[in-house]
Formats: sequence, C-alpha cells, structure tokens
Amino acid sequence: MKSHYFLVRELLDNQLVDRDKLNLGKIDGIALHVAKGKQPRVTHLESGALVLARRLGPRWERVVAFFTRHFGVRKDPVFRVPWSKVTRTGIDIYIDIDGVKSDAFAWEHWLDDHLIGRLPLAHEHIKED
Amino acid sequence: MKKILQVALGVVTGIGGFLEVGSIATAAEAGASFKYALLWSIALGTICLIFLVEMTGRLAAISKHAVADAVRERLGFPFALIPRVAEIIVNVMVIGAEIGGVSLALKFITGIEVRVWAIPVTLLIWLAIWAGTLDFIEDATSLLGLVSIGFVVAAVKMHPDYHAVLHGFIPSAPRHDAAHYWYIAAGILGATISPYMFHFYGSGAIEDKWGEDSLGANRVTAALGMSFGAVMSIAVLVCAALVLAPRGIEVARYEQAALILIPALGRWGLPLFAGTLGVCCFGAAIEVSLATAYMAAQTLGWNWGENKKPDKEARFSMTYVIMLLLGGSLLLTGIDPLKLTMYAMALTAVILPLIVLPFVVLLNDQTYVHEHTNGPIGNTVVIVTIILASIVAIVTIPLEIMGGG
Amino acid sequence: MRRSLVALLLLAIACSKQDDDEKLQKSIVSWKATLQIVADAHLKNEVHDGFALKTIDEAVEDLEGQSSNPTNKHAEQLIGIAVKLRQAVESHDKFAIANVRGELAR
Repeated sequence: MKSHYFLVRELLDNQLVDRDKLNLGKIDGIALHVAKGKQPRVTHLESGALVLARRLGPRWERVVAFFTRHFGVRKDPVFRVPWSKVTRTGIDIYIDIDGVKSDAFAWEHWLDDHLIGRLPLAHEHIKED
Repeated sequence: MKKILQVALGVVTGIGGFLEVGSIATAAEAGASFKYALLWSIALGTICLIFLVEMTGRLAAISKHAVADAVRERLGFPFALIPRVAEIIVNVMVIGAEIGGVSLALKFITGIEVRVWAIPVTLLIWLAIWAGTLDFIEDATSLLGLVSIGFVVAAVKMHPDYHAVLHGFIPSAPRHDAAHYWYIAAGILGATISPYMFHFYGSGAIEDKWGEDSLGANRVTAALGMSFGAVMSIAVLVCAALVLAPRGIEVARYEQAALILIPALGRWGLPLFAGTLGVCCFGAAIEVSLATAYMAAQTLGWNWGENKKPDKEARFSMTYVIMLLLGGSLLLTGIDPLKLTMYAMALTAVILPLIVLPFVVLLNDQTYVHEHTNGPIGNTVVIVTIILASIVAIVTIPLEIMGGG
Repeated sequence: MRRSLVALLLLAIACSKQDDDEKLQKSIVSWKATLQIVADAHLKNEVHDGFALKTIDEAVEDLEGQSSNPTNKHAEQLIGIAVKLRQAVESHDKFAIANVRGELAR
C-alpha cells in the first residue's frame, strides 16, 4: 500500500475486488472527511447507481433516487467501503470483504432468485464453477 | 494445442466482423456497382483492424482488463458513458439484423418468411450462449464458418482478371455515381472496424486466460483471423463483380446477392450462400450479444464470464438476454434486416472516432501494458484510423441523404 | 439569403426528380437481369420454387413501389412479365418459363 495516491487517477473508477476475487463494482465515488484546519482524509469508497448519477448532475440524481427508492433491492443504495478495509491497490482495489454476503451483491441475488436462476440450465454443470 | 485453438478466437471474431449480414450485402453491392474498384477499402479497413485487434489482445493479456474496463478506469465514467450507450443502441439493431440474417438464410432454403423464424432463431442463439462455453462457441463457429470458403472457390472458378483485381486495391476516384461510391467505401470502413469486435476479442482473451506468453500468438491470431475474414469478403465482392456487374444487377434486395454463387456452383450455389449467411450471422449474433454484456459488466464492475454458470453472474447474463429480446423484437416488427444493418452501420460510423480514441491512451500506459507499449508504427496506425473514422463519421449521413444509400 | 435557400431547395427537388427517373431505369435493368438468372436457374433445377417465387415477389414489390407515381411504361411491362413468370413457376410449366425467359431477353 502506498502512502500517497492520486485519488482520481488511481482510485476513482477502478475495480473493487473482494477477498474471494469477485468483482464488487467500481469505485464510483470517494468520500473525504474535511475537518477545520486539518488535512482532508479519505474515509470511505462508494459504489452504486446513485453515486454515478450524482456525477452526471442533480437531475440524474433525482431520477435514479426515485428508482432506487421504489424499486431498489439494496439495504442502502450507496455501498460504502471503509478505507481500513482496503488491502491492496493497483489497477484493481482489493478489499477485505465477503462480497457474496455484502449489499453489493443484492442485485445479483435478486436476479438469480427471481429471473435468471429460474430459467432452465442456469445451474448447468457444463460450465466452470 | 492451446495456441492453435487460440487462433479460433481470432477467426470467430473475424467472421463476426467481416461476414455478417451487413458486410456480405455491402461487399456484394460494391462488386455489383463498381466491380473491383472498392477492394482498397476492404484492405484499408482490414489493416487498421488487425492493428487495433492486436492492441485489444495485448491489453487484455498483460493487464487482465478488457477495453471497456480500461476505458472506464483510465478515462472516467462520464467519458465512458457516451460510447457505451451509443454502442448499446447500435448493438440492439445489429443483433436484430443478424437474427434477420439467419432468418433470411432459412427463408432462402425453405421459402418460409423471415418473421416466422425470428423467435426460434433468437431462442437458439440464447441457448448457445446460455448453455455453451466460449471454447465451444469459438470452435463451432470457426469450423462451421469454413463453409464461407465456397465464395473463394466460386470466385476462382469464374476466372477473374487477376490483374484487374489487383488494380482494385489501389485507391481510385469513381468514374460514375460518386456519392454512391464513397457511401459504400465509408460503409465498408465503418462496418469493418466494428466496436463489438474489440469487446469480444479482448474479453475472450481474458476468459481464455492469455498472459504475457501469448503476445506472439496474439499477433498471429489477430492477423490471421482478420485476414481470413477479409479474404472471404473480397471473394464476395469478386463474385458479385463477375455475376452482377456485367448484367447491371444492383443489390436492392438480399435475394439478388444470393445469386452470386449460382453461375459457378450450380445447384450448390444457393444452399452454400444460405449456409454461409446463416452460420456467420448466427456467430455474429452471439458475438454482439456477448460483447454488449462484457461491455456493460466491465463498465459497471460486475462479475462476468461466458464460461461461468449464468446464476453466478446474473447481471451479466441478464444483459445478453435483454439484448437478444430487444433485437428479436425489432425483427418481429417486420423491418427489413438489410435496412436495419445499414442504419446500424451508419450509426457505428458516427461513434467510431470516440471508440478508437482511447487506444492511444491505453496502449501507451505502462500501468496497463508494462513495457509492451505501442511502437511508433502502432501509434501512427491508431491516429490514422481516428482521422479516417472521423472523416467517415462526418460524411456518412450526408452521403446517405445525397442518394448514396 | 432566403432567396438562395429557396433556389437551392428547388434545385435539389429538380435533381432528385431526375434521380428518381434514373433510379427507376436502373432498377428495371437490374430486376430484368435478376429474373433472367432466376428463370435460367429454375429451368436447370438450381433453385427451388420457393426462392424463385420470393425473388419475383420482391421484384414486383420494388418496381411497384418506385413506379407508382407517375406510372412508367417499362416498369409496368416488366411487372407484367414477372407475373407471367410467377404463374409459370407455380404451375411447374417449364415451357412457359422458357417462353418468359425469351421475353426477358428481348
């Protein structure tokens, strides 16, 4: 782990990977804590459609907020990863989290339970595990 | 053995790029209207494509990231959004057109209308992706795609003037119908450099677990795969030049393109044409559907993989299911697959510069490709391609309006 | 400025009218030759009925679409021949097909 990071170049939009090497989404946003007279610190990384929408503009944020409020399956539309969970950086950012159990996989589970998993051959053994 | 099979990925990508419903029709139209005069545009597009596909493979092999991944990471979400959204819209049209191509092939053989085939063909394509592995898709499509060699056989049998053919590779101004000539040239260039090929090839390379030791094979695969496609495309053009041009036949309907093998191959002519069209469009439909799913998953950070079970990456699987549903539905509206593919090609031409631009950044970034950055030739080709793509983007729509299309 | 735009528009319309006639002429030549190949191929059993009929239908549809307003004598003539060819193919009358083939050659 380095001591200095270019937040936009090296963190923002990079891939989050969990402890089992599963993809957990991209770093869609970075949260900084700014205390008076003190150096700003990165507190956590954020991921989710709402975070992306914010980057496009307030109108997009409102539209996406509407959909996540009424149709979202996550407990919290913004998936937050504390900086303390980051174990390795590079092109991908590795975090010490069990992705499958986390909120980041909410949509995967919902789609699997309600749609994809119900189609024939979804759990077919021809493919890898 | 693994290295030999590696070429299969290149051949499939090439087939899906060069021999799909639009490219066959455009090559036939080029030959019918201008004989060999447009061969240079196929060659030019192929050279640019070989370089770009090799770069895609190199990026994937070293960084273990495909193009869509790297564009998001390196150039940011707002920038990445524009080409990705545009590609999704175009890809729905292309998938519809390819399903249409398979349906046309079945129509030529059975006489049953295109619309009837839309649903069963869509289901079959879905099944191939859903239950099959990438290896299976690559190998089956490459093997079946060999039927396209029928075009080369027919072209040779008809004894073309090889001197005139070679002359066609030198760029020249048209003697008549300038708008139509440049429209087809732009169409060939735009159709040859199809964005979905990059997503498919690069992601396939990652699924096939290419590494730094695959770089040499990557060069060979890119060159051989794209050249195979180009040779078939050239054969279609030559056949059309020999069969349609002397008689003044234009390719207004696909049935007219289907005639080009009959004089040389007799009763094998139509079945071989239909077989090639069917197999290649089937492969192309799979390629474009998967490419879209790869692109979406990589842009948004999901798990992805054709080799993984669908339930392990529900969002990835959902994407290609939705794409197939949308594409198939387009066809059910009764739209002519040929028109659909022409619109898709025109739109692709417009967004192409944005798709190619990131290659300049990514393939010179040592974080991604380490010491295997582009050399001066590679960078020159990319920049020339961007300039060409920009010219094509600007002229395509006006040329179509001027009666080119 | 406005006058030049109107002039340009009128010129474009005039050109496109010429283009339409030229396009129709080319289509007639194109479909005539297409039907010749199809008739020949059908006589030699190189294509089946279904394909021949579909191609004839496409020819008629395309020509009718282009020549509806105003009607073109040559287009109507070719459409007439196409209809004859269709009937000949449907009734598997090789003699009639050969006759139509002769008409197309003229």
